[in-house]
Amino acid sequence: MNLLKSVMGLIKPAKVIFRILFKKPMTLKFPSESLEPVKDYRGRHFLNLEKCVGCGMCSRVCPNNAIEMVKFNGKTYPQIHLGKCCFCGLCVERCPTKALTMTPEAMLSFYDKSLAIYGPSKLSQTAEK
Amino acid sequence: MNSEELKPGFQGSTPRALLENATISVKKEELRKVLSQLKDAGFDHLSDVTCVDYPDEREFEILYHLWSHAKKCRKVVKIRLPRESPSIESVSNIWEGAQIHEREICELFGVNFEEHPDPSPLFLEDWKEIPPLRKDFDTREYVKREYYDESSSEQKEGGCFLLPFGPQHPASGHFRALIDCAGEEVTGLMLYPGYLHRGIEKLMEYRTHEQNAMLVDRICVLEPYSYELGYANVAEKIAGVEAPERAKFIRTIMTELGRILSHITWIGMMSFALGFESANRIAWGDREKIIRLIEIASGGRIYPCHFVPGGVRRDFPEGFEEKISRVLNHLQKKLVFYDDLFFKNATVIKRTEGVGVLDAKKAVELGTTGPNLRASGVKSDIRKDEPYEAYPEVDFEIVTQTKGDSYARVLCRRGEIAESISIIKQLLEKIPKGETRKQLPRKIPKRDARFCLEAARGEACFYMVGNETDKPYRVKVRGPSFSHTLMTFSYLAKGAQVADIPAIYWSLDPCPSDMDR
Ligand code: SF4
Ligand code: SF4
Repeated sequence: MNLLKSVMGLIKPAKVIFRILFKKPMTLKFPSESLEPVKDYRGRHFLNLEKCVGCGMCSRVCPNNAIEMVKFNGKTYPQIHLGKCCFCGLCVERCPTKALTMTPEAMLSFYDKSLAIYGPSKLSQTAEK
Repeated sequence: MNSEELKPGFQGSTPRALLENATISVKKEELRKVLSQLKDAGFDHLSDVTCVDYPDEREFEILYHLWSHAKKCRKVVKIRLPRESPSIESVSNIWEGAQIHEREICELFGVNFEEHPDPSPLFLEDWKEIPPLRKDFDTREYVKREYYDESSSEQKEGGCFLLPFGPQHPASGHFRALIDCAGEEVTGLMLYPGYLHRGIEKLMEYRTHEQNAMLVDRICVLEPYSYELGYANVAEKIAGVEAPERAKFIRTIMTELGRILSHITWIGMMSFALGFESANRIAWGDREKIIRLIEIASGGRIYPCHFVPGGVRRDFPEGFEEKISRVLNHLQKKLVFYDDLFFKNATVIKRTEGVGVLDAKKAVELGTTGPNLRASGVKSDIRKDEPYEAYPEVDFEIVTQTKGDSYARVLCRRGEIAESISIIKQLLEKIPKGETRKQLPRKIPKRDARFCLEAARGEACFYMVGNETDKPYRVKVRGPSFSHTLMTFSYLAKGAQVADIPAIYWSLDPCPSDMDR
């Protein structure tokens, strides 16, 4: 009886694994394919230059000090260091005019650290596809 | 010895709030006597030892948090020590598991524990500064001086010929042990934790309520929800606010999903440890399904940043309940598949049965909690013993095993996945409508609060002290893996076969990131 149990305990795993061979793979061929982030994903920020009043609330609430207020076109705007950002979204939550929002853009790796600093002009561009 | 000092955050109607009032202040001389009396009176589990620094009063406060598995109640023993020469008797002769907590306090606060079996440093190497969790230690100033002003980093090397275990990731997580062995038998073990020590407790002293809610995610990568829940609850308790009913349901559902997530990841890690890589890949494929749910609900994949003190940041989106049900049904079917693949696999049974046997008494003694304790036959689950959030609304069984070996721990977790699926299904039926977030006052009142919850790995606790500012004065986090890795694992490893080490280690499901914090 025990022997039978052990033998079954060896055959069954082999059987289920064999069956998986004929199933669709669980993985994607990254980078040619990739998983689309969901609609409300907390990815790269978007700044609406018209709505932003330069109050600096976003920079004060940021837990990682990722936001610096900079001069741009004669007004103050936030500049976000995406390398420091943890994408918590507190800045978006705090923004009184809803000028700052988050986009589902998640592919954010750069060859140079300085490219991770998004100034007002870069932040106000929509994601390129 | 019954002065009632600790004011609970709110007068809840559960026995939890009433029982937590039980705080005792003792003098230094009577500490051991009181604690051993309490242990004899049934408080057999030393949940945590915490130290709080009060430089203005020139004192340290040490807190011993006790729990009785039989009576299901808590007790806190407080003791004050002068800050100049802090010294206190070690209680590791009463609870063996106390020594690891004391060792941490000794290192991070500079409190001397008399007659401690091994007071050597745990995390820090060549530390010449004042102990880092003291209030007068300034992290920012230190980092600036040490890493930005001058570059002076020396490498130190030990010179032992021992078998290293870790710290490369899939083998042990970011944790290293040196195994001293005579032939195939392990005779000794040296532990080197700290690879993931981020000083979260200190970092939290610099951040406000809502900023901290984003930080606590990082305590455990594999199930951030439990720690978010613990932090949200302790902050609510200290502020005297209760979260809206719907928020509680959402939090409970997501935390249970987190538990399944963690256990499925563990199936992967356990099979990897046993050299069964196919099961590893399959488990991680299923993990993705739950992560996708978390992504939809919160907007983040691994770090959801979903719960905040006062509720949740996002309500469930349209049609989310059906999505959860679909995934749960899939998992329920998949569990049968996992039975064939992993749980009843003859090789798995051979590798784990009778390996790393932990009896109930020793398990309690070492501070083991969660599935690892239940596998030894102790029926203890904080979700049942002190129901929090929406757990009073659901009906579930505490999964226990009796043998206490690695296979019992494996089966315990399998049972828990099934129970969690049923818990979520019940909650989805009962979830009320309504608001999901309340605002908390900005300032944290000057009092303390503690909240314990059943994380996937065991008892996770938050202890918080307020100071009338918007930042907590002190936060202590108890991660279950701290005891599991440093006490239980090293106890079980001694005398075991070298080849069994991965099976023992992963059957305890340790997570180095909640161990180190
Ligand atoms: S998402 Fe969070 S970390 Fe990133 S910039 Fe905003 S507040 Fe700072
Ligand atoms: S983005 Fe919003 S919070 Fe930040 S400065 Fe502009 S208006 Fe203020």
